[in-house]
Amino acid sequence: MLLYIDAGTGGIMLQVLLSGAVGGLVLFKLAAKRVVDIVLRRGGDPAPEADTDVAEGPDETGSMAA
Amino acid sequence: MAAPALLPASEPPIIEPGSFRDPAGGVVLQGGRVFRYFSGTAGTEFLRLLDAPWFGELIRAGGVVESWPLARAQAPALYALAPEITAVVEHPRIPFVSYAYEWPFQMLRAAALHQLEVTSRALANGHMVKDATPYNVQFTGTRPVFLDAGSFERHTAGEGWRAYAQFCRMFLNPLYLQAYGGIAFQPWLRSSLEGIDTDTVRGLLPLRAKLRWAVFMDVVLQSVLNRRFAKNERALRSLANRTIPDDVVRGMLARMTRTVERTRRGRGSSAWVDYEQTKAHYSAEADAYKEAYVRRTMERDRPGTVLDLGCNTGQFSLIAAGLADHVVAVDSDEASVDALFLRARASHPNILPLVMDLTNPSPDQGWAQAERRGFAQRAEADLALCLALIHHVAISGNVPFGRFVDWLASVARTAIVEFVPKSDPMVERLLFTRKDVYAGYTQKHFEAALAGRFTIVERSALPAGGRVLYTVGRL
Repeated sequence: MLLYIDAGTGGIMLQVLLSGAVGGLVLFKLAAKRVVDIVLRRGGDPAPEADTDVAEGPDETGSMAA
Repeated sequence: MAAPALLPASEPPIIEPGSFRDPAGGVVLQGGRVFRYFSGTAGTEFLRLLDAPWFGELIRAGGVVESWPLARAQAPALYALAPEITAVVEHPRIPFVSYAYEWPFQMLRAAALHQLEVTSRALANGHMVKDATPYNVQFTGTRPVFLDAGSFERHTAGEGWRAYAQFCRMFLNPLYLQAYGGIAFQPWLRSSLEGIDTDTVRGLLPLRAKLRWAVFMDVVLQSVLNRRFAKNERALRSLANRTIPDDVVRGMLARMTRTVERTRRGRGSSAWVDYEQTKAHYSAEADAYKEAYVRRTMERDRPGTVLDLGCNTGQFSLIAAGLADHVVAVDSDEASVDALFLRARASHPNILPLVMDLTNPSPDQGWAQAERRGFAQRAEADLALCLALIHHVAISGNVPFGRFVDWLASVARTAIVEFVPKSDPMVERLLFTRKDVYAGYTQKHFEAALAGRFTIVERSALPAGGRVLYTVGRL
């Protein structure tokens, strides 16, 4: 039905991350930080502001910026 | 492929109300038949695709709906719908159209795996399926078939899997919600036709689910990336120019397939899934009598389509499936319908099991309230089975007999209806926790209600317990 769909920022970003070695490292960093974050909060849903810290990786590595 | 006959000129074509979003084509109904038109280059592309061996193989295996091309002279009224139409094909009719919010867990899982298989096969042959929605998959009985022939397009290398986020919203997130959160997805999908967004699922799943690698990737990480970058214009611009290798897409499709295969429905709690084995209120004799009654009536009347309303795990659906072309089996207990799907898939593939509360059936909804049709609009059966159902509708649902009978007459030509008296242990159980305000719940009132819409063809009391079976025909 919905043919010209919004691919979704997160969905495309995930594929970009998966598509390169640098992206892989960033993904690993995000994953590790997220797991630590979730475990430390003992089940509490991570606060939105935590996202900013976790996802700063792409800008640092340049993998996200053109 | 069968050569289609000429269309009768007197029948006006009607655009299928759920098919209007794609500028490259759409579905048209004419004279009880189903057609698809293609505009511009999409027409020539699709006719070329029909000649491709891999696509023919998919069609022959029943994975994609059959398409029979029609020349201009065979369908002038369809080609005349718009000047840009370059191709028209006919599809076979699906016996009963159903929607993802009516499917139990295992059906959505089967549809998800089917979508992934079709997408993977397309990618392996230089094509892509441009979307990922269960509204493009229908079930013929228990078999999924991909319907939207217009969804295939030539793959552009490096473009990635643009339908990934939609696949998550429409298939994966609902499955995760049930599997790891124990939350039924049907009400969510019914109220949100675009699926369940990743942020919502992230908030609903427990910690132990989020620690699963697949859930972490597809829910937590996707949600984090969405929130972090959705308003970052620099990142969004860079995304537009990014190339995503096809190997990544193949890897994602393979990973997603493994993930969905491993997803299991949590056992959950259902008071009804063991009903067929544990019912103590029927004697073996009464149960056998009821089965024989249904079998005998069906052998005599030979209905083509049967609705089994309140099917539970399908004791009578299975009998009906052996004597009818198609059975649509409906129950509000998702665990029971899920069990019936697995049972039917193994032995009776002409049963379509659906989850629905008959006191609140699927409504007309979507754009202009016509995109997804309500249950009553789609249901027109030769026979409805309403066995051990009326007390649930009339007492649990507070629906008066007359209203139930009116509704029944709108969905079926004939019916076998079981009346369950107040003295029955199952009715007594319902009344334990309710004030008995059901003075009109008597056999006499029930027969009077039936007589308003149906002729009573046969009346037969079960050997013990006071239950009565009626065979009725619409007036």
